[in-house]
Amino acid sequence: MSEIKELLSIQNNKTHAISRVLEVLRQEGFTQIEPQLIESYQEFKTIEPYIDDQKLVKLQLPDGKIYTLRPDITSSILNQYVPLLKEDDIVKVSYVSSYYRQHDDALNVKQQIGYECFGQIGLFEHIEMIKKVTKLLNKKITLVMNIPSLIESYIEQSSDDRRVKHALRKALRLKSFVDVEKLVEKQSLKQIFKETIDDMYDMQTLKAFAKERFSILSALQHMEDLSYRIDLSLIPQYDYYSGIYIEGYMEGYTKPVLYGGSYDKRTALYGKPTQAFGVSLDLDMIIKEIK
Amino acid sequence: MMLTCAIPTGRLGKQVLSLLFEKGVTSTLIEPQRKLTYTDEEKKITYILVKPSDVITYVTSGYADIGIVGSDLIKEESQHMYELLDLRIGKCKMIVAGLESHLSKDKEVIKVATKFPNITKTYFESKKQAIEIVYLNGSVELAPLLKLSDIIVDITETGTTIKENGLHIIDTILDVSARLITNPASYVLKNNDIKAIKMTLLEQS
Repeated sequence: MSEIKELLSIQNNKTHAISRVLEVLRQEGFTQIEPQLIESYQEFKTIEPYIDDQKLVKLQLPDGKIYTLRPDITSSILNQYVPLLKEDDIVKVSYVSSYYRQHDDALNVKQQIGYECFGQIGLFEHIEMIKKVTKLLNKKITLVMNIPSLIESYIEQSSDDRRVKHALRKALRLKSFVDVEKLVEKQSLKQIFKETIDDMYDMQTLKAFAKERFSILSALQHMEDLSYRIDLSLIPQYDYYSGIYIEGYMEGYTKPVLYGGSYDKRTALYGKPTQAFGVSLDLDMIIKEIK
Repeated sequence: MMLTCAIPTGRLGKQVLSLLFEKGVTSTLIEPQRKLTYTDEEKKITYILVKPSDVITYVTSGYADIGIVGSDLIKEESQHMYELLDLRIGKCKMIVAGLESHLSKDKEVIKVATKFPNITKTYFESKKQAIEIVYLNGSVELAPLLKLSDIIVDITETGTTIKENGLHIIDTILDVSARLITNPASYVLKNNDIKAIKMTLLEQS
């Protein structure tokens, strides 16, 4: 096959794979949207300070105003839609889009496919949505879940020293048993951190941790046909997940091919606190693994 | 389920293979020769022998599910991997050393020869000392003698080579030992097998 025909064939496969996912989402009431491309740099930095400033792609117009090229898809969607939400609205949007970051003076463009839901939707329905999308794939996906606020509350109580809390968070995220052990012994922290890192997916233990969050436990009962585990030491890179956080893993991929969760508290930053849940999928994986 | 384990070549690799055999992780003692891969059918593990600095690459890229590597390389690389266990072998120290004639000098910018630029930068940032890194791949102790650098940051086991080259240890940056590592996906997808190996290595350590 000539080079150009090969390129077009690849594009064709990509279009087909994307359209399969978007069709499933459309049938579930999702509207495909295009997130806004540029945002005010100052506003973005104020609301979403978690992205390193050096990584933002900045544009300056002749009038001196500085903008940033879509640094994060979810924030673009939040910026566009949350201010318009009314109290009982339920909004479901899907997207295929890119975000832009700077890395070592080079422009990094990352494509992503995913969806966001705003409004009162139960966790059970979110889990069902993940099941419907992942049924399109050739390979099994294993979900790993946590409620980060559970372990965060223990981390907050562990020490008055911010550096110790930061070190503990990092050690848990990297599953560094060595560093957790050192911190537990040196700082006289609770044994619970050593136990947590061992992936506590015993239901009794989880119930003890999650006693206020029965809705999450009941949602999990509907997941018999999904491969999943609970990892209480799973701490996401960004701390805006207020409820459940999920990562999906698949054979042949060393990083999560799916991630997302409940991020209600992030919507408050855009003026209208509301329930929010989003999932992003690795586009390369989708193209390769769609049935 | 078959696991692939990356083992470093060289002295640490021999220590690792002995340990794995003693603990019963391998069914026979592997004695590395020219062959770089060994499959233990009984224990369902394939071992690949690679350069120590490549263990992390094989694990993080997914070609190996687990690996054994020095904690100096883990700290230097800062790649996303999980550090599951300290095997307590291959123990040494990352130190700062220099000639006695350099020790009393107060310099605005110190030239530091090292194979570990990231660890070196982090250490001297914490000391609020400006440095210029001279990157060397080996025989780092020579650098101050040939006036290529003021001091060095290097690994030492006993301190003998440092002393024999007329250098003095100024500070210890960190204690180093061999660690069992894995990548996030293997940890999830092959968790039972990886945990079993970890627990076996943990027994009687």
